[in-house]
Amino acid sequence: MSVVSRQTRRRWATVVAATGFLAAVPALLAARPVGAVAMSAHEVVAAAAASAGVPHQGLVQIDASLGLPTLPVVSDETKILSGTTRVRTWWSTSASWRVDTITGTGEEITIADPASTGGGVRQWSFENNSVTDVLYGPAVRLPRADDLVPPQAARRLIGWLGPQDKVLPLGARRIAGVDAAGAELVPGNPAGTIGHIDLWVEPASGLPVQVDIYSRGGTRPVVSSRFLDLDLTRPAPDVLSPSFVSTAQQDSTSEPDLLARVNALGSVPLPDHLGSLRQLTGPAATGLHGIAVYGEGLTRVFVIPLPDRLAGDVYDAVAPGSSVAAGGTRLTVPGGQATVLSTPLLSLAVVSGQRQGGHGYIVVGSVTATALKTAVTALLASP
Amino acid sequence: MIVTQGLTKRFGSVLAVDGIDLQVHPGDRYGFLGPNGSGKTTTVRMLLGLIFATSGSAEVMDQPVPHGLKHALPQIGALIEGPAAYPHLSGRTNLTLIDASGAGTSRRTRRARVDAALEQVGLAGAGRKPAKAYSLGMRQRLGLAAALLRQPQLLVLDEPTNGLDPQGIREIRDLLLAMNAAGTTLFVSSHLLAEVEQLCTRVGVLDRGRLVLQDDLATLRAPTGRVIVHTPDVAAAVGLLDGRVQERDGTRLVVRGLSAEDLVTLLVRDGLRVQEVMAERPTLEEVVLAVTGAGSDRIDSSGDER
Amino acid sequence: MIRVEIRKLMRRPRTWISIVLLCLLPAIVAVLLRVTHLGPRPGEGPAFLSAVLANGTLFPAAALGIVLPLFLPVAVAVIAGDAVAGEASVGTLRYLLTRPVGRTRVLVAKLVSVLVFLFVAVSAVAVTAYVIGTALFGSQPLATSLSGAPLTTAQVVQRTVVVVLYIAWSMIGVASVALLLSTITDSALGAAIGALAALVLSQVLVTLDAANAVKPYLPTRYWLSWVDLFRDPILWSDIERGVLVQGVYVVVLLGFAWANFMTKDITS
Repeated sequence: MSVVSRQTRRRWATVVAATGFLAAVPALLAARPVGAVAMSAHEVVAAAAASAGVPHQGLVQIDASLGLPTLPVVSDETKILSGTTRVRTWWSTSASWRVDTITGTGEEITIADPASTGGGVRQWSFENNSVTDVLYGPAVRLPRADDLVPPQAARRLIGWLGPQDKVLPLGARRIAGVDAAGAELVPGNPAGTIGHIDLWVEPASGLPVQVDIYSRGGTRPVVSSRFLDLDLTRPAPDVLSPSFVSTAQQDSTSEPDLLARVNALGSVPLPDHLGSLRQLTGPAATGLHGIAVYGEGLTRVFVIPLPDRLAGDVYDAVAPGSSVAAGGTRLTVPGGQATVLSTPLLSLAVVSGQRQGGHGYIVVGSVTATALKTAVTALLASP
Repeated sequence: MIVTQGLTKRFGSVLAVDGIDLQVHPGDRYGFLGPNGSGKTTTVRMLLGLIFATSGSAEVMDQPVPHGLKHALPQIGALIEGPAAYPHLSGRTNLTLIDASGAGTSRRTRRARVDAALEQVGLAGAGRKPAKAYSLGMRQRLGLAAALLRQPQLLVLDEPTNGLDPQGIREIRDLLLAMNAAGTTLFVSSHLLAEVEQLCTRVGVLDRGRLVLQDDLATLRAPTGRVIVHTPDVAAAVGLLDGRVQERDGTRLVVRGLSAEDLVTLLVRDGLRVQEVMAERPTLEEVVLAVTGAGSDRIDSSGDER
Repeated sequence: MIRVEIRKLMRRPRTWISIVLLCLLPAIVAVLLRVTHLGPRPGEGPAFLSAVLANGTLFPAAALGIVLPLFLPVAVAVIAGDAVAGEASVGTLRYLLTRPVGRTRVLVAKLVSVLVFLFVAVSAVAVTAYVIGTALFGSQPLATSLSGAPLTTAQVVQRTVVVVLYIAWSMIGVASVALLLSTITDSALGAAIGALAALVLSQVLVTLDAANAVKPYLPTRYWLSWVDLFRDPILWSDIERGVLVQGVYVVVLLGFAWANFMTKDITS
């Protein structure tokens, strides 16, 4: 108590109120009601599928917790599937875009450059001080940052939708300042691990602004990709075709990663069915030379035959006693053996066959471990 | 100049200042006396707006404390609980910085003001030494110089002669007296009775937070009506004065009921020799001790400590 | 009052000692790099340190990256923690306030003088690093941005100037914590240590996934975003957020300091 305690109280009240207000600003902004968007779920999906021509630029955050073990040979390439990645993207057309992965002390850039790479991309890596032309755009490769920005990811997943998969309505949500219309994709096959995929699009253009993939029974998305900032204007040409320092190491490759190298292997005969999973042909399997896809809709299994040398590398990595194998189960079936790793979203098996001249396979897909084991058994049993 | 009513400060459960009513008139040389820990410094800080009273009110130079103080403080010079200076800077720089702090001082005349203040307190030659090399007395002088920078109408000085040697004390006292003669009101807080007795015209005595006495020094030291006489002829004098002698101590007698001149006439007429005679006045020490208890640094056991 | 505070600051040996130490640290790193030619691998160690061997004009950025996480905040916490508590402990605060100087003015003047210190210190680091960097490593007409685009020396200098401003402003949150504590305690050291404790807490939380919800509001969250100035095009979004977050910290913490200090009993 003192002769100034009233002023003291008033001052503290002012300061505490101002602090409270400032602290509440983000919450208040987030709590603004989202405007109603008059788009049905099917309209959302159709608009997203047709959004490849929508020019835009923005900042994207990808949160993934796939829980894949680090396979030594592909650890750099699969980094994006675990943890948070920030990406900025500029998109003019399918043939003219740029995606930068931002790291604390560097940057990796992928630029569409179909003219000089035969449909491939050009990549800059600050860490390696290198510019690499990835020629011809290999049809099979590990996911890159540009595959995971919402528009690209959404269009790919929608392309996989099958007749059994359901499209359900989903409430609108504010994403990067946009009142976005939603749709929920639910796989129909009970063997699948994907619970549902939530998708939101900017209603006027149909540009997907957020994609969340949930595992079956999961309450948090295993992969979530969303725009933090979005600007629906066409990016400037000099941003889309930046110049790189002349001191950078110049390179070109047509096999940027393990899968692409496998792809060059040529085709190995594979069975039409793996248990209940049917091999997809025609448009659904487009471009996957040497690699077979089984399943339906969003529930898919990829069978990737490995050349002997690579099979040994990968198999050693998952062999008993290695750190990766600790979480996996070993499977011995007539005709070979396998190590099966399962995560909430993906199951992966490294298979070493004894017959057929010792071929190895990687079998990976959005199916349960049980379904994958059935598929591996069927694979090794096939003639 | 300073008026307080029921000014009270409580620190937690400790009552530091307990309802004091000060009255300092313009032109006073007010001595604020009290043992260490009696609440003098707390009172001074309250008057200057450094500490806020728990209750009661105060006015300094007709401005309410604390809200009107900003109008009064520019005319007040203060020395609060010892001087303070930035140790790595010279005395002159310290004064320059203090002078530049706060509004209302002209930059052009700053140098002259600082020189004048240093001159006044006798530090003109030491203005360039860093303050950490100063002796206690020099620091005290520097603190006074800071208080004098603005030719204050009111000087509030807490223990102003602390650390000074006798010549220094004399010098400062003369300076303060001269300033008072020129119209500056002095409010000097001290635990040194002699200092206050020599300097002040009015005293307030603080004891354990309470103002136990406040009066003009002249009133407090008014003659008691008794006369003190020193005579070598003690026995004859006692006989002659016949029962008017109240105290006898060697050649010193305390006599009641006679004025000094009558007493001298009486003694001399009878051929008794008189060495010294004077009307008895109480000393300030006697006045103060009569109204105060033990100092707060003395702790007596109290009943409930068993 | 602000001018007086700046003069006080500039006349303190401590101010210059801390600036010299801040400049010395990158200089030591530069000499070691020059002698051993062992740069960190790109992507490891402080940003740009790997690129310095090839182009000395990038050394100011690397030097700021070296002092930013620890040494600069320590210097700022010491200076700001001393602001009010230091005056209180030598006893000059009571003379300042009876001068009179309004208590709000004291706070604002102290904050501004700390800000001036920050700009002087960060600029000094950048300038000495430029001199040392170009002297030891030479300069190339073009430097490599994180995005691979070449940067002319003029562009590098321009961006470094913006980095200086951003880093100085980034420290203002720590300075405000120290200033607030400085009005609460009379111990300058206590205030500085308190501010550093808050800083360490923030740094720990930034690395913790469990703290994701509060991360955007942590004072150190956007400290390293100055690197975004060396991208092409520049990525402004985190820098804008960083400036805003620090601004909010200044307002809130100075508000608390003000509410506490205005009617605080000055017993020092």
